[in-house]
Amino acid sequence: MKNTLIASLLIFLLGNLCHLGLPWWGLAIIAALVGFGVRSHAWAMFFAAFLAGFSLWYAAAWMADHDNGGLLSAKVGQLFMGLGGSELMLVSGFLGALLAGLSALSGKFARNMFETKQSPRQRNYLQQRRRR
Amino acid sequence: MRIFKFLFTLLLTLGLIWQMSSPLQIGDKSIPPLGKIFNPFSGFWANGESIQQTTFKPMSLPGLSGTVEVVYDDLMVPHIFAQNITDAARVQGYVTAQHRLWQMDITTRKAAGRLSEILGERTLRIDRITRRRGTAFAAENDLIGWQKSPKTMSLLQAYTDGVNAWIDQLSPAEWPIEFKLLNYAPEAWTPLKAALVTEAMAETLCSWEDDVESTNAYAQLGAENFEYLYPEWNPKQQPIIPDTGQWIELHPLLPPPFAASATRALGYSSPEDSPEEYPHDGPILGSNNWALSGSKTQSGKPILCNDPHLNLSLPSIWYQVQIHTNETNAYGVSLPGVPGVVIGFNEQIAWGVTNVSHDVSDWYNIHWTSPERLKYKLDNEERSVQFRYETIRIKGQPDLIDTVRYTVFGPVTYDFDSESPLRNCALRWIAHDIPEHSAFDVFLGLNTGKNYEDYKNAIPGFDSPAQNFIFAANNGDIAIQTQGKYPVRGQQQGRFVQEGDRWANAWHSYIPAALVPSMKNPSRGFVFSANQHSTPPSYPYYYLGNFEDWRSRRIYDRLSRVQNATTADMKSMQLDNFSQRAADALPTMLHLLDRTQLDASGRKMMDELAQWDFRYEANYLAPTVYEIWFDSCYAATWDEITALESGGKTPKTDDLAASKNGKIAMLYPDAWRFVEMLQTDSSSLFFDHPNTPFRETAKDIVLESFKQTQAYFQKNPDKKVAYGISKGFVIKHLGQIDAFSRLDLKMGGHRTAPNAISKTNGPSWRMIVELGDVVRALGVYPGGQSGNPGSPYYDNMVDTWASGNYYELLFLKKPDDSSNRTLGKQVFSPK
Repeated sequence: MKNTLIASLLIFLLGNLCHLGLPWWGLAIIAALVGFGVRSHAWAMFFAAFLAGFSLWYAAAWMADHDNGGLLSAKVGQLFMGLGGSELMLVSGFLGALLAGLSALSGKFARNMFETKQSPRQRNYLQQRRRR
Repeated sequence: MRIFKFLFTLLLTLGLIWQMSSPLQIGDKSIPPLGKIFNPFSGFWANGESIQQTTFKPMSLPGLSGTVEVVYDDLMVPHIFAQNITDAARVQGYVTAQHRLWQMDITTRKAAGRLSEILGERTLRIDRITRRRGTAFAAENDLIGWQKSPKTMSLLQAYTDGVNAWIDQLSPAEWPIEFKLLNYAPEAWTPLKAALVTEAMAETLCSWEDDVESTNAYAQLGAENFEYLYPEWNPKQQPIIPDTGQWIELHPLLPPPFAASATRALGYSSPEDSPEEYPHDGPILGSNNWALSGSKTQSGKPILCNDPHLNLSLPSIWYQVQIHTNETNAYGVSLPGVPGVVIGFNEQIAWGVTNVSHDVSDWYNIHWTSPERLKYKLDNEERSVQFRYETIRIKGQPDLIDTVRYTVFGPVTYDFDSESPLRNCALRWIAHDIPEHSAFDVFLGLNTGKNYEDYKNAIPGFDSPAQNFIFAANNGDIAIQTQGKYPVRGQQQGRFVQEGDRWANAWHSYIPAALVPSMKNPSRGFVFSANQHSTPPSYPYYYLGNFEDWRSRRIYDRLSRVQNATTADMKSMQLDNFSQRAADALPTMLHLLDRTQLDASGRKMMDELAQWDFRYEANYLAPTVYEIWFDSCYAATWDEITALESGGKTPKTDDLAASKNGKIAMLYPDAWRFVEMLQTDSSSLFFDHPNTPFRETAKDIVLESFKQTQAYFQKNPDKKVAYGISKGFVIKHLGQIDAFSRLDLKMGGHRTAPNAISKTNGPSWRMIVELGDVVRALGVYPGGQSGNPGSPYYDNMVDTWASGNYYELLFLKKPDDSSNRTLGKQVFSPK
């Protein structure tokens, strides 16, 4: 649980490095690295990254939009079947979420390949053996 | 096991990234790459500019000889303070690119025939025609001419370097939004692109001709009817340069012995030709300018006004700028891509331009000597064509290499279209010629000019598109000159398609500079132009063109009557919605209309029209009704011509036969001639409908079209609305993106009124300059200085323009001039 939170925060915070001119898929790399480096269950990792990616892209879009007084999003929304500014932010958030989630999951499964993870039965047996 | 999970997820992730990087095709719509567009760091979100405040980053530019300070005012107009012209040009390039980079890109792409590179196959035909008309060829020739002057080239190179300095420091996040939406990268600016900008203007302003239509009309109608229907001189005209006896002593160059005018009727007009604005009413792109001498103004000093009429777009075709150097302090509008101020003023003089509208494009019928069209007959010789290969890149497809044949006259443009009547014709266009001077040398001369002599020395270098240069100075001088390069023509030469097998038909000489019509300080106290005839027929050289008949007469009237003029009077003239055409035609039509033949609602409509004051105001209903009546009256009159157009008599020669549609492009009489016939020849045979046994006169046509108008509004009651709504005025984004356009404006004005607003065209800049010890100016254009839809300066001037208001133009003397209108300063240092 704690690790999941850490993973989420890490992705969100490090993701802000994207402001510094990383390519748009920079978030994918960051999420993958976090997914690899932080120990967590697969679903938890996906969810953590999904949340972080959504928050990151949504918040950044919101800040830009607020600064601009909603001028541009009102126009761009018309290009995408009459969406409003807040809906466009949701689209951005969702895309960021998907990107982060899948990337983090890839990182997690990569980690799995290197970890010697024991099944609960195997662990029990080894513990019992050690006690003897 | 684990490796499969990993690989599968990895594949999914990479697949997602790839999909988000690629454009999506949904039906016929192309959606830009979602990841690139929607990510908040470099997608469209990044194009939104702060509405709170703008910060101006200091910049160091290589090549500057000194520091340049740019002060921005509350309209985001850059006021450039540089030590010399070259430094100013460098910075002008930088700041213009900063605001209008995509406009510069798309304008030059269009002129170069390179739209298909980014838009794909749908623009291929447009690109082919552009290339084959030789627009890019003309630009290359411009550069050859400009390279003769090292001073010109160094100025041009400085501007180019300034633009590139801006482009080079752009990250993809900072690209203009159109690049992101269309998914392509900005490319470097070159001196050739400046030439393409000027050639784009030439294509807009001086490519007009109606040789095919005239040739067909002459062949179909015969000489007598042709002369009756298409007289070249409107007796009510107020020409730009009246005859004051200045041509009596002239020794004009002899015109060529002009043989064989018309060729055989040529059949179907190319689908490129947009249907003639119907009724035929002179240029829809034109302009007004006038200058009053101190004898007619309240201040005792001249006032100069100019409002160029062009296609209105966002961003605007113009970019306001002030340039202050050791040689000049000029303010006005510039063309993005080209250094200098094009229309404007400095501390001593003011100047402006309108289109001369002469025909400087002639078609020559080439006589091929073989089916492969490698050689053609010219007098007793066989000449070989020169081949020019145009490589057109098409997005998503292999390149097309188009082969264009060039003859001594020019390129054979339409030979790829077997249905075009011009398929064997070569185009002689003035813009193809290598210029003696560059256009921006001319404007530089005006920017730095101080008096009439400087003006007279600056403008003779200007070849095309020919412009009526108007002038006013602090010392009281006013002047106008119909400046351009004009071929010396035989009588009626250029009206019809000419035979290209004899050199005698070519252009051999040009009207010398000293004999180009001009006027200085006339006793009547004003000079003006509104695209009307340059001169009366007594001018010793023959010329033809697309001349205007209505605005000029109205402006002449008002200028004659005005006394003690102020800027308020000038505004009222520029915003004048009074149509001379309505004033001439409507009373005549009402007089001819037989009231006894109308029902109650018809009589009511007639009375309402009789109340109308001939003004095209947005809130009036009468103009909406009148437009329908006038157009249908015109159409009913010229049914014979329409009949000839759609499958009438076809020519005998089969290789020039009409297309499968059987349509033949015909010339329609000018609206002024039509009105004149209503007034003075109402029983003319042309008012008759040939297919009825009855012999109709103008009275019948007027009645019939009136009833048609009634029926139209009965059938479409939702169309009977105020003129501002029925007009459907729009200012479209240059990329035709509706979301970035202004579609909400209800405008008055009419192409036949001084306030020449039509559906998509109108005054692209309105300027009023009061000369004097302190030059004061008012100005406005329907757009904003920034081409970024995400900027608060994108369309902030549109509403001001639409409501008939102006801004006081901020004309600074020093960069630190205190003003509550300045937003900040940007400093450029030498590197």
